[in-house]
Amino acid sequence: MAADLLVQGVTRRFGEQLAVDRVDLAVGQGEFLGLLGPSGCGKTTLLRMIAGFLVPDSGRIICAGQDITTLPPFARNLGVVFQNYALFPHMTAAENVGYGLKVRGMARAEIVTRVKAALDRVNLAHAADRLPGQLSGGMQQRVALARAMVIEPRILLLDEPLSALDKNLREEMQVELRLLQQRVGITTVFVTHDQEEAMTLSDRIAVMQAGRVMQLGTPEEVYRRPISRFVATFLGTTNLLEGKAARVAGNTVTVALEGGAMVEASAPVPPTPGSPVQLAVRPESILLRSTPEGVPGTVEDVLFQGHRLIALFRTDSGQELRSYMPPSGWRPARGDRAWASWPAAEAGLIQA
Amino acid sequence: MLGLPTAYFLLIVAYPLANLVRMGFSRPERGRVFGEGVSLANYVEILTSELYLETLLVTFRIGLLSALCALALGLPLALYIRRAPPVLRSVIVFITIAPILISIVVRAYGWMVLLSNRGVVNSALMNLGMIDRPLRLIFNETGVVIGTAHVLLPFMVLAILGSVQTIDRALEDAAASLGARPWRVVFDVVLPLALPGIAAGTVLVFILAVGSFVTPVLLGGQLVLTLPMAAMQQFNSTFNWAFGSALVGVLLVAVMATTLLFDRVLKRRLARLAAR
Repeated sequence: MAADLLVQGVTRRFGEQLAVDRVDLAVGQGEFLGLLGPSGCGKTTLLRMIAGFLVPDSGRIICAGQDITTLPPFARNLGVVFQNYALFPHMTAAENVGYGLKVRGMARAEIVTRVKAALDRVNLAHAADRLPGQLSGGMQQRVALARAMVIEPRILLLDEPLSALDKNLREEMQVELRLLQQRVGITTVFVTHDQEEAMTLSDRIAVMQAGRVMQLGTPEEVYRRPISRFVATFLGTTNLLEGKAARVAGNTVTVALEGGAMVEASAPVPPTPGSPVQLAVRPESILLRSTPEGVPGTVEDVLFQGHRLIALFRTDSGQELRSYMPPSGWRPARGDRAWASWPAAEAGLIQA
Repeated sequence: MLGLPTAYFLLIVAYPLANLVRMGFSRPERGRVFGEGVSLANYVEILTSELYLETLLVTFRIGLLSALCALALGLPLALYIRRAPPVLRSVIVFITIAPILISIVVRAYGWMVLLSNRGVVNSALMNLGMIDRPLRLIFNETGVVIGTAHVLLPFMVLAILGSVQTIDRALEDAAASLGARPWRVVFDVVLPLALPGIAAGTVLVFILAVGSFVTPVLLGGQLVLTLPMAAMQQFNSTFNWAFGSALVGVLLVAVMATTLLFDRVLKRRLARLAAR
């Protein structure tokens, strides 16, 4: 996959504050990349630099082989969808969508045809003559998307485009957005603070914190095998187990957990043998069994949630674990002896 | 609860205005500034007199030109203030508003220094060889318009600023990302959305200019007569309060009619914006 967008060592400060710190990214042709992180992590600043609203202090941004680092936004031909849509309130939906074509000096008849096609694509042909103030949030969102895509941009940039919608509509729009992006095959960079949204939509996720990319990988990789404590906790509930790297063979690491149990895990960058490590394991990956297999401990409480059980478990070495279990099968009860285990591929190895 | 505010309004606003209207429909009597009778004679006299109709026209011309000058100067200033970084912005806003703190009389004399035949402007233009004889910039309508526009500029800037500051910056980013160059963004996005403020500022400056007194007196010399000046003469020199009140009445109705007309025309244009 050829890189369509390259971000090389991009840094940006606001006064003393380091907003984006030496970020490198390569986004492939047609790829949907999610920039995920808490507010203030620099994800929006990075997006604004790609869009051209901000110029990096250092580093380069290359789009389709052209260095666009200092190119003004109007010359970049990128489609941007803003958090609050930023629809022009004095223009109808059709005028909004047609604006980018109008400033390009396209003939009126051609604009009408393209605008109609663009509105059709987002199922808004009937709302063409309405003003943004007369459209619902979801409709405004779709107008914004149509407006950004009708100019046939080289890259689509989305800045938390779904955060202003209510939950049901957001899930609906996530699917719609993904399908549209796949159909058009446009390279897309998407900023969000919602980890579920990032995982649903993205081909790959860049998890950011304090201006840096902490981990870059497919949603499954970053969710199942986080390489830092931040990524592990930011992407959802997780269990962190203390241990030491006992043996290292290639990417496979045998970890000696506190209390003596030995488990295997894989790490992209293997630790030095003997160094302290943590294992991050999702609650749904931890299986509690009544047979002696895995890490021994005691069930402290069991909460019934309908579709699952939450078992609170304490290992003999004193570490607390949380396990999500299906309500069928063996049901632990408070005070039971049990053994916790998980597949090696479900454990993320975190190096201190 | 309504009692006190209503009484306050009646005493401070309604009663004096009613009195003025009442006086306008009376005639002066011997030894009194206005009489008991009711008559339309004052209004008939004003509306059939070439002098007073000319005065009304001059007053409106000065009001309109002052509003347009203030708009031409105030709009770019307001747009510039909006783009300025925060600290610079408060400095510029202060400098813009500061003239309000200086007496209008002082400012009028300042303009005399600048605009008179041997003033700074004419001397400079003559020394540069751009003109042979001094331009007549003062003691005529030109001088009054220059002075009035300057006095009222802060009101224009504040009115426009009030509406441009509510424009979301993301709208400009959006226009730029769609390919609009900076000037195009101003004309397609900023100006249409600033229209309510532009309209408010223009109406405000027009009303204030039409009703102004000190600046026309000082910068018009005795050569420019506006309606407020004519009314003042009736009150202070001729002691015909009845006729003076009628002049004020004519001015009041004319200004209200103009403002309402302007408002209606603009409302139609703004109806689309109101939907946001």
